[in-house]
This record gives sequence, C-alpha cells and structure tokens, in this order.
Amino acid sequence: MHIVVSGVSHKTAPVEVLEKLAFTTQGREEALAELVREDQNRGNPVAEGALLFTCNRVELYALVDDSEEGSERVGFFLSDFHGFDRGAFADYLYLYRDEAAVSHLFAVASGIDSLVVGEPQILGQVRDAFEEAASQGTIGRVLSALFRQALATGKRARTETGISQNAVSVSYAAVELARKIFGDLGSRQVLIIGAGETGELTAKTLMDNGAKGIIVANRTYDRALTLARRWGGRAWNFNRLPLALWQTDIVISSTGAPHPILRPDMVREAMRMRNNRPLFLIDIAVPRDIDPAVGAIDNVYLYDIDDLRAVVEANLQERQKEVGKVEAIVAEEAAKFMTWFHSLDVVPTISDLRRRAESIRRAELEKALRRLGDLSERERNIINALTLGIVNKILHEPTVRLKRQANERDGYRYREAIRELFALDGGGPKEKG
Amino acid sequence: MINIVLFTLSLAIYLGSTVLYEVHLVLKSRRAGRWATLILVLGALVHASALATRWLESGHPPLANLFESLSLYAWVTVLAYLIVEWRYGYKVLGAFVTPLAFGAIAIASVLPREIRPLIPILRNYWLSVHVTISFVAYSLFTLAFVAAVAYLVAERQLRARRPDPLYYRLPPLEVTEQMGRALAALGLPFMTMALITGSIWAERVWGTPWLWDAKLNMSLVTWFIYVVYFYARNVANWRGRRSAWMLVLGFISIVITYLGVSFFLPTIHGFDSFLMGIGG
Repeated sequence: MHIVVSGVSHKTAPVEVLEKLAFTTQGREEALAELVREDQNRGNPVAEGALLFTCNRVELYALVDDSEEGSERVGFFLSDFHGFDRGAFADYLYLYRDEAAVSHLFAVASGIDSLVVGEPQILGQVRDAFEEAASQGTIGRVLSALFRQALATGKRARTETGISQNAVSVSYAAVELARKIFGDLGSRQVLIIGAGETGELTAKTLMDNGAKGIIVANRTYDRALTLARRWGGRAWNFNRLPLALWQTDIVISSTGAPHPILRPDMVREAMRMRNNRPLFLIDIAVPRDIDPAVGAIDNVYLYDIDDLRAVVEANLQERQKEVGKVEAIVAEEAAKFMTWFHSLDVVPTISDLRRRAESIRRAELEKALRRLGDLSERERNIINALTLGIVNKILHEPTVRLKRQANERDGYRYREAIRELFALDGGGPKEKG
Repeated sequence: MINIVLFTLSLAIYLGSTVLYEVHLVLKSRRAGRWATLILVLGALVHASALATRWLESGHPPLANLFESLSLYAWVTVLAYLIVEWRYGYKVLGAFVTPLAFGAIAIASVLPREIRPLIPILRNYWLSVHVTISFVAYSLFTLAFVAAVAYLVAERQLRARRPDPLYYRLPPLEVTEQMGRALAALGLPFMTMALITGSIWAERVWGTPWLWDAKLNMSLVTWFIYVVYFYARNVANWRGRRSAWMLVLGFISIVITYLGVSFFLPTIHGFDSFLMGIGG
C-alpha cells in the first residue's frame, strides 16, 4: 500500500491552471465518489481518497495498492475528472509517494507551503478536507490517521515556532501596533476618517480585536451615517475632528483629500486636551492625509501605508527564518507516521506469526522427545516432520489469504485481527516493516 | 563560613538565570523562560539562606558593610522582580533585571567580606530599620528604571517605524509606563521613610538630624528627582518618554548615592571611611 498525493499549487502552477482544476462543492463530492468507486471487473486500485482544495492548491490524497495503476490513476485523476487531456497539466502537476507525500501534507498543514508563510486558514482547510472525506466515507483508517496527524503537526508548528507570529497583512499589522502601544484594546475608541477598502478593513480588524467603539467622520454627513450604521458606531461631521481626536485613541485616515487634513497644530492641541495620552495615527491615504511632521509630536505614533507595508515585509522575513524549525518538526512527525504506516504492512505480520508458531513447535517437540526417551534417528525425524507438517498446513491458508487481503481496501483489518488473536504484539518487541 | 558558600552558590545560580532570561528574550524560547523563573526562585531561596546564616553567624542583620548591603540589595530586587513578573506576566523584563542583580552581587563578591564586630554607633535599632527601608526603596526604583528602559526601547522602535524582533518581545508602552509609575509610587514613600529614619538615627548618634555630607545630599537629590517625576506627571502632564527618562535619572542618582559617593567622595556615611559604616 502506498500513500500518494497529486496536485497543483501556487508554487507549481499559474492562477489559470489552478482555476481550471478548481472544484465546486458538488464537484468535490462527485470527484471523491468517483475516485474510490469500485469497478465490478477491474476493481479499484484506490482504497481511500481525500481532496484538499483552497484558492492556492488542489490536491488529491489517496491510499493505493502496489500496482502501477494506482499511482497513475491518482496522478491523472484531476485532468481526467475535469475532462482535460492527460498531458495538459503535466508541467504543473506534482506527484509524491509515501514519506514525501506525508511530509508534503504536514508541511502544507504547518503553513510553510502557503503563499503567505504561516497563514492560519490552511489548518482549517485541511480539517475541512478531512471532514468532507470522512462524512462521505471515502477515507478509512490510514488517511484518517494521516489527516489527524497533519492537523496535530500544524498546531505543533504554530505553538513551538514563530511561523505564524507577527502580522503579515496591513490591517493586522495595524492591530498589532495598536496592541504594542495600548496593550488591551478594550477601552480604546477608533476614529475612521473617510472611506476606503483598506481603511474599513483595518477598522473592522480593530473592532474584531476588542476596540470599544468607532466614530466615523466624513466630508458628507450622509456617507458617515451610512458607514456608522454598518459599524454600529457614531457619525460625526468633519468640523468636529478636533473633538474626535480628543475622544479617540486610534485614528485611521483614508480620504481622497489632495492636502493633509491633520496638521501638527491640530494634533498638538489635541494632545494637550488628551493630557498627553498616546495617540496612534494610521494614514492609509495616498496622497497623505496626515502631515508627516505630526509624527514628531511626543506620544503620537504615526504610521502611513508604506510604513505598515514595511512592517509586514519585516514580519514575513521573520517568519521565513522559522521555516527551518518547522521543517524539522515536519520531518519528525512524518517519520513517526511512516513507522506506524509500515507497521500496517502484512509481511512482518506473516513472519511474526511463523516465528511464533515455530517457537511453540520447537518447545513442544523438545518436551515430547524428552518424555519419549530413547528413540532412533528415524523415529525422531518422523515426529519432527509431523509437527512441521501440522504447523505449515495450519498456517498455509491464513498466510495466503492475508497476502491477498493486503491489497484490499480493508486489508489491514485482517492483519490486525491476526496480530490480536495470536497476541503478536504482546511478546517481544514489535517488528517494523 | 557557610554563608559565603551559599553566597557563591547563589551567584552561580543567578548567572544561570540571567543567561536563560537572555535566551528567552532573544530566541523566544518559552522553555528557557520557564526555567529562567524557576532558577531565579531557587537563586533567591539560596541567597536568602546565605543572608540568614550570615545574620546568625555575625549576630547582627547583614547590612553593616558594602558587601552585605549589595547582597541585600540584589536579593530584595530579585524578590520584588519576581512579584512583578507574577503580577504582570511579562518575563522579558527579567532579561534586564537579572543582569543588574547579578552585577550587584558580582561586585559584592570581590569586596571584603569578613564579619567584624559592629562599632558602637551602629548597634542601633534604627540602623536596621533605616537600611532595610532604603533597600526596599532602591529595589523598587531599580525595577521602575527597568520598566522605563523597556518603555524607551519599545518607544524608540515604534517611533522609528521599523520595529525589529526584540520590539515584539517587549510589553506594550502603556503597560511599561504604568508599571514604572506604580513602582515609583511604591518606592517614594519608602525613600521618604528612609530619610526620616536616617535622621532619627543621626539624631541619636550625632545629635543632629542632618549633616551636609555628600552622600546624604545625594540621597536628598534622589528623593527630589522622584518627587519631580510625580509633580511633572500630575501637574504638567508629562507622559511617555520624558517621564521615563526621569526614572532613568533617578536610578543614576541612586547609583551615585550608593556606590559613587562611597567610593570616590569623603563621607561619614561610607563603608571604608573612618566610621567603617553602614550600607545605604
């Protein structure tokens, strides 16, 4: 049995290719069903299958038998299913087997294969892939164990290394900076001046992370009112800006104004009213809304969009430094998994079974020969052959059938039954295949 | 001389804890952080037993010379830090405190340490009270200084808009600001008490509550700096950087009062001066 993964990701394929191989929810269900469908005549080399699908990757994980057919079926499944020529995506598709496949999934779950290293969503997406396949019954014990360990590895990588520490988006970088100034955001008011996608996203992220309330200021009051309603905040007129600066702690500015709207004298006055309590200004507008000289005022922290991008860039580099540590964890977990996976193989079980039978035979034979006392060489040989014959005859069928079952979907159940019934794991150390 | 053995042992343990706190800070190793605290607690316990056995061996509280007083200062600082770490949950400050505490007893370890009988004027109840209170004040101010340094480092990076990895390890500005203020607020009454008890003691032995002596004057300057710190905060609304620098200034003043004057200026309140004196 082999674990195989075949797929495309942002690392190997352009967006157009990813789009062509994308799935709808229904498409995923069909694909999974198709992948493991038993053919009356030919059987199916694929015993278990799961589909990992995100914006940046389409991957098919499968447990296949030892035949060439298995890997081939998985390797071309994406093209076949979507009705493309088998050679169409050959340059973009990758195919990993066994330890490489296992490591790949663990690396994916850890976030080191993601477009934004260490991003958190992938862990949820791996879980979705697992649950979807589980609910459709297309994965069995092996892939379930694989996905479970992938999730555990992903969590381990995130807690034991800095792979997902520090913000890597402008809005989160703003939240992190706000936290570094104020600590808890629970008592902090946000002021948003003007509208714009990044500004609104930043405000939303701040609110999601515990900021207390929001004031919306806009040149047109109606526009402010609309936004304020959406945020559950208050709408203020532009001419009340100085008052707003007094009442809030975090200001996001993203107007389309051609000249700065927050000038040093205004902010200095606000700081006086604030008793010098710190003020965090985020200028997302281009051209700038806030005069850069404002940044020199004591207890005022001014970040414009370029500053935030630079912070994000620095954070990404920090994460990149953690990749090595994560790779070590991935390798360790993959090795652990492979040990377990190999133990599923039937060959060691057969030899364990034979060894067990042989040791019993020898012990009993010796006992019998001792009690029989003087026997001729010929008599001894006959008794020896008798015991050998009985043991071999009894073990013949189980051995043959176990080997046959090894390639079947639930083959490992027979293997486990044998190990359990003959207590093969009870005695000496477990043999690894 | 079991106290010297214990003292040397605690010196080694503090060194270990210092290294672990730095590792925790630089490598972000949580495990190092956990061990750093555990080892610091162990160090504080061994150090406490060193001070206790010295007290038993000498028959007087361990505050009669620079060796003993530096040792006590380090111990009280470590103890106060452990309380702060427990209260605020920030281990990174340990990376600043442990080198200071280790440094203090490293200096102590090269000083004369033999136990000598107390001269008559030092055999006084007010001595112990005065010196103990002074040390509590110094330790609290030391921690306030550490909080201020953490504030200034973080503030500088935040202002430069290019935060480096160390920055992410430091507590938020508001936290270190509040911490510094709270510690100084706790320290100032002790400092005031130290001056008062000092005067009472001076009155008893010299017949005058105040002598215009370098060391005594410096301690008044120190006290004054912290008074100004609070005045500036509450009346002139000083916040952040300026206020943090005041705490740094206060600490420098303490170091001058404590070590500088004792070593370099003549004082009646010194350690190697004719009075063979008191710490603090």
